Amino acid sequence: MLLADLKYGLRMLVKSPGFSLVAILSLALGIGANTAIFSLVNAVLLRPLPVHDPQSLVTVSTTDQRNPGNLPLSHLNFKDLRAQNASFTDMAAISFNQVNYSHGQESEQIPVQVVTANYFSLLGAEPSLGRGFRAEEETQATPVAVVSHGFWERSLGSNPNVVGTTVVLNRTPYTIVGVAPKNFTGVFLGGGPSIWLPMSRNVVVLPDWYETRRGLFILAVARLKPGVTVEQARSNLRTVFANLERTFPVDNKGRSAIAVPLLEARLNPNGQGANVLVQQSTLLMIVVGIVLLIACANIANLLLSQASKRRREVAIRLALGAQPSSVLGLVLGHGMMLVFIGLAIGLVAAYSAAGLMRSLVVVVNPHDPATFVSTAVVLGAVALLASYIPARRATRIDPLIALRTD
Amino acid sequence: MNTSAQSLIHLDGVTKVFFTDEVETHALAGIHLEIKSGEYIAIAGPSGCGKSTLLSILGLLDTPTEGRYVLNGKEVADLPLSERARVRNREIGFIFQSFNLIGDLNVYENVELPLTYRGMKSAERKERVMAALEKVGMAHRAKHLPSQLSGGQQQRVAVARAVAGSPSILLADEPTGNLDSKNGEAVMELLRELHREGATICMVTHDPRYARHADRSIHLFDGRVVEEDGSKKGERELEESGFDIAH
Repeated sequence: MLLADLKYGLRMLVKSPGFSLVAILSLALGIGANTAIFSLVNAVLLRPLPVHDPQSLVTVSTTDQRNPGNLPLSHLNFKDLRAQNASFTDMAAISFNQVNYSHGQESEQIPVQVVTANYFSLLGAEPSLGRGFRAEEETQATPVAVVSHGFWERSLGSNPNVVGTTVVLNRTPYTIVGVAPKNFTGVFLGGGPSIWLPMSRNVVVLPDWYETRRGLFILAVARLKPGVTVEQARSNLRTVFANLERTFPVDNKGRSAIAVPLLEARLNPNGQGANVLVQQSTLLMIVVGIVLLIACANIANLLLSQASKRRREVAIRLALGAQPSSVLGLVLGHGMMLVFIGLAIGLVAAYSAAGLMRSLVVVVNPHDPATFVSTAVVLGAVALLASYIPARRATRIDPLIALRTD
Repeated sequence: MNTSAQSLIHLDGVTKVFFTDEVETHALAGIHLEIKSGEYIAIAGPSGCGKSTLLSILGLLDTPTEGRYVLNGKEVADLPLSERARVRNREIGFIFQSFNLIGDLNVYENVELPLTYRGMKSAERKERVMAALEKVGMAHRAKHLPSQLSGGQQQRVAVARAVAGSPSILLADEPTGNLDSKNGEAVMELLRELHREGATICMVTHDPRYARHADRSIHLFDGRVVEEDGSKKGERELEESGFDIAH
């Protein structure tokens, strides 16, 4: 009967092209917007961090009696904390920057992260080609770079022999020493950089900040030693920083350091409330959720109106011995055809929209087949549920009354 | 009338009361009725006498307020909804006054419809549908939509739909009511032919000319059987043999 119901549903679609078009387009809009946005949110917010044991990672930040929230560290304090703490197996530093990437006659601004040499090893993110940074590259200004997997695919043509070639950043050639693992976008929300450069670059571009304790520009990530809790790490950091305050009373006056679990810090980076990206994503999900609800209400209303017009037909079918389940299948078949076509159009639109978003949010790949399929299944089920309401109502038609009155 | 034939329908003290806020309407008041297999019975009476209500109960589209209804040896008055649908589909063939064909389905699909609800295989459905359409002379119109047919042709398709499943009884509700006299006669002739082939027919009509086609007529008034006339078969056979019988 399912095939017959679908066939009949298709016939109904063709018979009422206006009705069908409105229903399909509203569904396609709802499904497309939801799939595209959810794919992006999934890629940016929900996908598990592609690092080793993310639960044992913490961020280390400055606290300042005069400035609320968790602040970055200065480079010198970072170095002292890394050397003097007893809680972490290792600490890595990250700072953000933008550089001008030149290729041929073209150039574009791309995001980079400037990191300590231990960055990739601390996170357990082994480069898929080449290597990470060496210790000497952190301290001696060396023009080397690790490119993101996305950048390698998009801008370097997935060249398997890319290691040893150069990229021109701010008119300086940098030798590519590695390609980051696929889907690795760093540890912070928001897409990640195209390229990682060693910390020694800050000697060149931020010489004044690099060697002071007042300039707060370092985001630090550390891995807890086995058995050490976050509370113990915080206590240890307070002790170490108290010494730093005594030793450097002018620069470190009123300051201390705090460790926050990385998974928590990603969503609330400065301890002052949710990340803007989280807020915006939540808002977007609410908006597209409402769009889907409207589309579902639309399809339910349109099917109800169609079922009302077909009241006599349903009554005839019931009089001829159709079981309520057959009538249910008939209306659902109509709804299913709408949902299938709406899904198909919606998914194509979502795929295109996700591609557009990919060009806006560098490195994130929202074209994840699993996300698309699971989202489509869920949204399709929601839309079918909307068809169920008028279908259920149609089964309650009393053929005697319908045939007498219509 | 074949008095030794098996009882197909047995109504015992069937009443139907419609309740509104303040009024109780007794549409049927203690109907006793026996229809034997192979019989052709007409239910006649003025408007509002309960003919259609009786037919609806016989067709399991409605339930009696009181009384017993035995169809083919089974008590069917209080069956659940799905079982009523199943019995309706297998045991009863409906012929409505307004044909009630589905406009979006062609002739073949309309006749096939009740068979699809039996879960019958496609090949068997096709065989039965074509046989039924041949019987009513509409096989050549199988691919046409109802809107492309005349009223008389539509009613013939409706008859084909009713007989395709070989039901125990055909229930016809004013089958000529929407037809001109020529087409009406043709449909009545079709019913007589089906009856001659063994079909059991119960027809509601207010037209005495058509009631005469039946073996037996039941006259209803105010929900009661006021007259039962079983002499029609003999009259009709004489008439068909060339005798002129004055009425």
